[in-house]
Parts: sequence; structure tokens; C-alpha cells
Amino acid sequence: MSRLWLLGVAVSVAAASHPLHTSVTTVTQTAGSTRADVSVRVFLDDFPPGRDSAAIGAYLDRALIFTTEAGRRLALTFTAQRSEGSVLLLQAELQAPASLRGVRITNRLVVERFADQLNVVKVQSGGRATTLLFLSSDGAKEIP
Amino acid sequence: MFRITISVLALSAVVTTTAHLRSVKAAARDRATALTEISDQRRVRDLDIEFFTARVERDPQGALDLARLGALYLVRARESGSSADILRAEAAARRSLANRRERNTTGWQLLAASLVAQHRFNDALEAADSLVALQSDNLSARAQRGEILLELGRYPEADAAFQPLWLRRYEPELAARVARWAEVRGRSFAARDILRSARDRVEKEANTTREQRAWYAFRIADLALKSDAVSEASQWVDRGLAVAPEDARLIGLAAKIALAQGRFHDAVELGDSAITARLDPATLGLIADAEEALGSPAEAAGYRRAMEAAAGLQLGGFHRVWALYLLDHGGNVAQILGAVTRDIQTRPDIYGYDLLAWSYYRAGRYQDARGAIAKALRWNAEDPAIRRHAAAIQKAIDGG
Repeated sequence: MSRLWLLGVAVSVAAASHPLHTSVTTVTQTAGSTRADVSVRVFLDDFPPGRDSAAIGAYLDRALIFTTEAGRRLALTFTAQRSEGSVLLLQAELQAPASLRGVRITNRLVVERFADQLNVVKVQSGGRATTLLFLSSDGAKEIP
Repeated sequence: MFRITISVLALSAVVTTTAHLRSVKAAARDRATALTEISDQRRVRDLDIEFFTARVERDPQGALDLARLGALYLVRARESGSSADILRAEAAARRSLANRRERNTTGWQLLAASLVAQHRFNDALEAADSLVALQSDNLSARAQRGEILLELGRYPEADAAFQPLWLRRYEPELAARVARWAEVRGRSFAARDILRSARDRVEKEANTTREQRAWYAFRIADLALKSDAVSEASQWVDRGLAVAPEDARLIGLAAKIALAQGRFHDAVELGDSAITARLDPATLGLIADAEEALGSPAEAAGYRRAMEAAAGLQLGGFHRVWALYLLDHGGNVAQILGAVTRDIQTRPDIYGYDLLAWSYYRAGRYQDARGAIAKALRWNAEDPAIRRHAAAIQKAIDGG
């Protein structure tokens, strides 16, 4: 124990980096499935609904939106949460078409708190991985 | 004879394939072991935070438990990037010191470190000065003060702080900071030597975490890469990833190496993995460069836009590495020059002058650029990036 906190205060400037306001969402769909697993990683301190499950579900409904190319909203169901230190990990299930190509994502997680919020979405579907970045000013983006 | 040759070749192929499969399985097993251990170590750290939080609640007048709690917050912040944890660390340090100013080394060091993490270097120096005034024989405190002086560009004072520590540079409590001094003062090889030795000692410590051990590999690799020692950097990245397979800093460095070697698809893939684990705007710039090289200007523009936003030049969250990148990639030169000019007022160090010089260069003010780069070269004439900038400025002045 003693070494751990000692090294913690010992390694300083070279380890320092600017803390950022970010979230990371991963969308994973196995081939041929009509659902996708969605995981969201946010800082618990920053996350407006905190750990209240009902509030989290309602918040995701407003801030993380998936639509088809034709504009039909895809159902996203919040299923579980767990925390790891200062990080909150959310799990949700997305009712999706057989391919996510062309699906549009709107990600406005935590943008109401931080103007410099940057949300990363990684989509893994059909053997392809795509990364989409969302600034607070961004609208919907299409999965290529 | 022909049949014997075929049989020998077939047997050899079977042996090679079996050996390869064993090696793949062993690597997968090692990775799984590493990830499990890291997860366990994080859980222990969080339990330690709970433990010390409870102790602090029971004894709010104590100093040591508050300092330990704050140190744990700082460790967690460095792993997760949580700004809230950095502020908690500072608050714990201040409470600890309010309870006891003297014989509270950890409290003072924690306060200085948490302020450094917020890039509040002048406030951090004040804390470091206070500790050295109370404990002039504390070498770790003197090293911390020296390191902050380096960040503020006060090199004669930093040299005076570090020179007496040189003989003890391999001790883990001092090594990281002495290495930083060597790096800033243009002795990258010595810096790597110190870190390698410290890393060997830390490896033998039972109570260091995998993430702490990986940090040394990251620093050595980063320094090697800055010195254009790509092969050495690559080896240390691999060593680090063997210890901590999902370390975002190491994966980001692997992406940087891939870009330097022209492996653009790898650079994008590794870069994306790194930002998914933990976002570093510099990695966004790197991915943008790789996308550009792959002929995907729209993707490149998206990453650059994100990087510019994350750099937060308009929000006061000025970051030099990002600003330097933006100068080279069509960023707003006038805006960056304004931010750099303000920054140099409080932090007139080598990298600040290098950035100022490059801002002037991009603005076409070559004589001003020469004056600024001379100030950077005065204290570190070895840094390859500074030398490249100096050469370009000189060429522009010569009409090249």
C-alpha cells in the first residue's frame, strides 16, 4: 500500500495531461442479428442523471438517438449499469436492422454541461469498425 | 530421397505450426492474466478509497489519511482522466494541510502534484516551496520543486535543484523527475537510461500496479520516439503493452509509430482504439494525418475539427502540443499566436518559446521567430523538433 500512494504523488509533470470531457459509446452487432449491444462509458461526476436507473433511461432516450435512413426511430432499451471508480458503464440494447450501415446517430450526452464535450462512438458491425466523433454542435451522423 | 525430403518438410511445417499456436495461446493467456490483474488492482484502489474515506469521516482532524485519500484520487485521475478526481485530490490535500502543516510531506506533495495536474504551475511552486522550507533535507520534495521550476522555464534554479540529486537519480522516488530534467535540458539518452533503471527497480516492487509499471515503458518509448529512435520506441511499446494491454497512452504511441513508418491503416486502427480507451486530442490529430495519407480528406477534416474543439483554445484550456499541431494543419494562426503570447507570460520555458517561434513563422514574422527560437535553443539545443523549427526559420530568413 505505502508504495502505491508514494508513487502516485511522485510521478508528476511528465504524467500530467489535460482532463477532457468525453464519453465513449460502443455499438456492437453480430452478423445477421437484429439487435445490437450498446455500451456507454461516462464520468459519473459529469453524468446528469447520476445512478438513478429511471433517470438514466429517460436521459439516454433524449441524448442518444438512433434512426434508420428513412428517419424511423430505433428502440434503445437501457438494461444495466455498473461503476468502476469514477467511471459509469451503461449497457443498453438497440433494436436494429440487419445492417447498421446508413443508420444515423445523434449523440448529445453531457453537452448541456460542457461546451467542449466530445463524444466518441465506435461501431462494430459486419466485420467493420467505424468511429464517429460528436462535438456539442453536431447533429446526426450516418454510419458509413 | 524425394519422399524423405517431403516428409522432413511436412514434419518441419507441423512443428512450426504447433509452436506458433502455442505461442499465440500463451500470448492470449498472458493478456487475459494482465487484464484480470489490472481489474483487480483497480478494485483494490477503489476499496482503498472507500476505506480512507470512512477513516477521514471518523477522524476529520487527521492529516495523513486525508493525504493518502487524495493520493489515491490522483492515481485514479491519471488512469481515467477524471478532472473531478484531480479536484478531489486538491481538496483533500488542502484539508490535510489545514489539519497539519508540519510533518506532512504527503500533504504538501499531493497539493503540488494536484495543482500541476491542473497546469497551475505557479500555485504548485508555492506549495513545493513551502515543503522545502519545512524540510530542506527531503530530496523528493526538492526534486518536485525542481520539476515545477522546469515547467516555468526557470532553468538556472531547476539546475541548482537537480544537480545535487544526480548521484541518486536511479532511486524510484527521484528517477522520474531527474529524467524529466535530463529530457528538458537536452539529454534524452541519459533520461532513458534513468527511466530504464528505475523501471527495473519498480518491476521488483511487490506493491506497484501494472499501470504504474506500464507508465515507465510509455515514458521510455515516448522519449525514444522524440529522439527518432523508432525501433527502440517500438520495443518499449510492446513491453508496456505486455504489462498493460489496454493502456491508451501506449496504444496511442503505437499509432504514432505506425504513422511514422507509413502504416496508415494501422495508425487509424490503433488511434481509434486509443481514443476509445481514453481520449487524447493529439491522437485525433495523428488519425487525421493517417486518414489524409489514405486519401480520405473528409474523415481527416472530422478528426481535426474534433481535435481543435478538444484543444479548447477559446476556453482557456490551452495545450501546446495541440496548438503546434494546429499550426501545421491550417489552424487559425492569429488566434493561436494570441494564446501562445499570453501563455509565455506565465510559462516562459523552452517549449513555450519553440511554439512562439513557430507561431511567428506561420504568421510570416521570421525575425520575431528567430528571436524566440534562439531562447529555446539556449537551454536545449538537442531537441530534434526544436532544431527542425530553427532550421526552417533560418531558411526562411535566408530567402530559401
